[in-house]
Amino acid sequence: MKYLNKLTISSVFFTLLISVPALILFTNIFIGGENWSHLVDTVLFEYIFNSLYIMFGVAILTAVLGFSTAYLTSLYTFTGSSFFHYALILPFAIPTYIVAYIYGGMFDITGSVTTFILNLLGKDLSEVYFLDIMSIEGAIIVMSLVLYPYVYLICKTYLRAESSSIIDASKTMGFSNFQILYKVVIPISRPAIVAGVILAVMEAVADFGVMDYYGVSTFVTGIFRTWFGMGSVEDASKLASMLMLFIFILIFCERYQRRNKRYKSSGKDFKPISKQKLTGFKSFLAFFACFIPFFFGFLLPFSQMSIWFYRSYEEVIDEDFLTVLYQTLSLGVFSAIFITVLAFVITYNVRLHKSKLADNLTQISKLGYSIPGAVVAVGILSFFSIIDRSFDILLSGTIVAVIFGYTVRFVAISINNFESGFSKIPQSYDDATKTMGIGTFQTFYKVMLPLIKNSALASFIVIFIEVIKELPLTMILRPFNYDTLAVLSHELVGQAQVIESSVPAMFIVLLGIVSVLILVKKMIKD
Amino acid sequence: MIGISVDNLTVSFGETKILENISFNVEAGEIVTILGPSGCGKSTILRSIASLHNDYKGKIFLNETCLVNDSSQKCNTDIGYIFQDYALFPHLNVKENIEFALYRLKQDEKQRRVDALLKQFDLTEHRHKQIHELSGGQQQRVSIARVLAYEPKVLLLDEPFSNLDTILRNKTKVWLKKMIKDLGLSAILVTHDQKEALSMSDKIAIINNKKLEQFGTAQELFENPKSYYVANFLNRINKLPKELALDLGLSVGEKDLAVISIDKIIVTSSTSNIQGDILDISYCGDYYELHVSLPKYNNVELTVKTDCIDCLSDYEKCYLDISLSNIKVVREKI
Repeated sequence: MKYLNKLTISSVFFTLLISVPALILFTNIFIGGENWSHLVDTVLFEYIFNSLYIMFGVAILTAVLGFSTAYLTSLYTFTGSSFFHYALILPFAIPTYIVAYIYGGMFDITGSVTTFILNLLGKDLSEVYFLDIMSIEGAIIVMSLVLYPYVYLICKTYLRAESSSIIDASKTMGFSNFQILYKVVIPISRPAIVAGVILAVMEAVADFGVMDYYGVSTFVTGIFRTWFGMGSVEDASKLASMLMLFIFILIFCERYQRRNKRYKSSGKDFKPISKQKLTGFKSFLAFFACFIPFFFGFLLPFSQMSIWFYRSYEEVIDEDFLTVLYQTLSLGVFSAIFITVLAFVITYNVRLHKSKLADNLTQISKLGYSIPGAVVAVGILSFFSIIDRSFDILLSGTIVAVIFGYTVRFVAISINNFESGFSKIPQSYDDATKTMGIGTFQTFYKVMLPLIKNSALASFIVIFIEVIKELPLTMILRPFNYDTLAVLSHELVGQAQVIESSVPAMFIVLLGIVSVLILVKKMIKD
Repeated sequence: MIGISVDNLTVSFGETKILENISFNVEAGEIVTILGPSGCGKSTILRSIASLHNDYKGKIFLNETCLVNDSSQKCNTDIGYIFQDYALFPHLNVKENIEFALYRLKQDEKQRRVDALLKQFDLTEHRHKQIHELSGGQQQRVSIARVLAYEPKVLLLDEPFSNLDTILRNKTKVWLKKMIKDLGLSAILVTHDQKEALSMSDKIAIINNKKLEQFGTAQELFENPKSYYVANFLNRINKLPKELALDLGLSVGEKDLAVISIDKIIVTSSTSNIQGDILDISYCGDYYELHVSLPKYNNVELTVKTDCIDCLSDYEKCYLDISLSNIKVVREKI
């Protein structure tokens, strides 16, 4: 019984600890630094406008790309439809900032594709219409191409859970496919579309890499500029807390719209939607509609990156690069183990004790995932500076701060994994072992561990990949001269070495593909 | 052998009271069924006895020993619990599931006990199979074997037949009852199925509206129900109008009801009996059900079970013979 209490106490302690940075940031919303009025006069409204513009643009584009592809692959079979079923998720494998670097290198004024086309046409830039990719519109397009799988995945899961009877009923009423689409499928999918769009929008608003490289001023780039350019910690914190509030409002809106909006299939005899076969021109159109987002979201950037990697790997991979690779991998492995164990302790404690307090604390600790990396980093620095001063130690700028940052940001993924895993283990298993007089440790070791190990493994891998991809949090919290692949890629781009940046990017993307494959495998299994 | 005594058991979930002052005894070697509608708290009684639910008021005794009402207390292994979903561990095979609770025993003793159970439950050839490879009936046998492996004195069975089809359910009921009696166990069975309760039990406890409505032998409850709820739960009955009972010479009190089983009303051709208008005739295989209204008694509607309808002069009218000896007077509410 003693260690059970320890389990509860340590679980509550860690849950509180990882909620502290967010709580500190909330208090910062009322405190401004000396440059705050200057920020309000000059750039704050630009941050707000740009963030809203990006949100709007990304929302429209991801909704169109994500829903149309989910609709086509869920309701029809056509040439390549089973390939697209999984291929459309692949853009998730490439971090947005890497796609942005690649598209920058291809489509900006001096980009390889721009130059090639102009040479082909025999014209110069002033003679043709040209959308500069290094703009807010370019950022919206790039972000949408990488983030539409949020909408695709949620809509697809949603449509898979729908009964074919609703489509069949519409058909018996004489509706055409197009009428069924806008009269039935879109209305019933609305909660799924909105849920996916909000995830994509949150990711876009929280982005640093794309906006920084494309020179778009948003809240996140503002936090960096205020912190590093103006040296104003208080103002950066206030910006961070405003952004966090903004994100929480978005989450609230999502939850509010989801309330009472889950249209469940009625009837016990559930039969999934049977797919209709498309042939000829319709099949080609469906193929084309799915190929476009796959091509621009994955195939094109990945191909270009592969070419650049081939051209530059000998030059980039040296002893320093291997050190960065080792640092990244060891940081990823250690953080993934730590976060997975912590999430297990938290969720197992909730399962064992069914305490409302523990459950609520767990929900609070999950909010970290929705807070942008840069904001988490600012919260942690504020928190650690208090600890540093109070105990006369140095935690800020150490590897502890980085791992703590990853924990705050990613523990929610691991908790979700374990919650889903535990939900599949009936409570009667715990009860059965109790009635047999078997203790908690034996139950854990002989029943829970074998049954939950797949969730733990999935959690480890996903966290490992997330840590390797993470950019802004690592940049702010890392110790001096401690680089990761993501930071190195960003720094090379900053030094106009876009081609060379493809080498660390390639490692990140290959690991990202592993993560997507795991996601796909889990989807099939579920 | 162990008997169980439940004394004034009261359980609340938050503000909501779900069981109130439940008291009954299970004599050593008896099978008692707790019967009631879904969600009435039947399983909570079992969980309280097994110490899986500890937030209750009242006392539970195993023979003379009062169970400690404390969540830190380990469950008493004199009590074996068969779960509705069997709670078999999917990562273990049949043999490993059965020997799961025997980790304290020496290997040879463990082996001996498991082999005996596998043989007893006709599972020897399935010993290495995974749980998902077994049929529902086999899974149930494994779950019972697993519990019997640690030799409990009392069995608690939570809706043990709910996952079985009708044929297997009937077969398993006979087998399980014989096994419990042969092993000299005391058992408490929870079900919402009246037929299951009547055929399995020495005694039945009927729960209604948080309280124990009636407790007694199956025959007592069936033949002398105290309340309308018990009568209606165990049998298909008709409420008779008080005027009709009075015409037959039976005075029914204000808080009482006169009831009669649907198969105790005889359909006759004799016009001296009570006339009824036939609203509907349903063919039910080996009998018919007539839905009849009585014009003399404010068109009150009755259901009547009859073997043949040949005695009907037409399919619009019939005459019902209601004998006073078949009428029971029960309390409207307890």
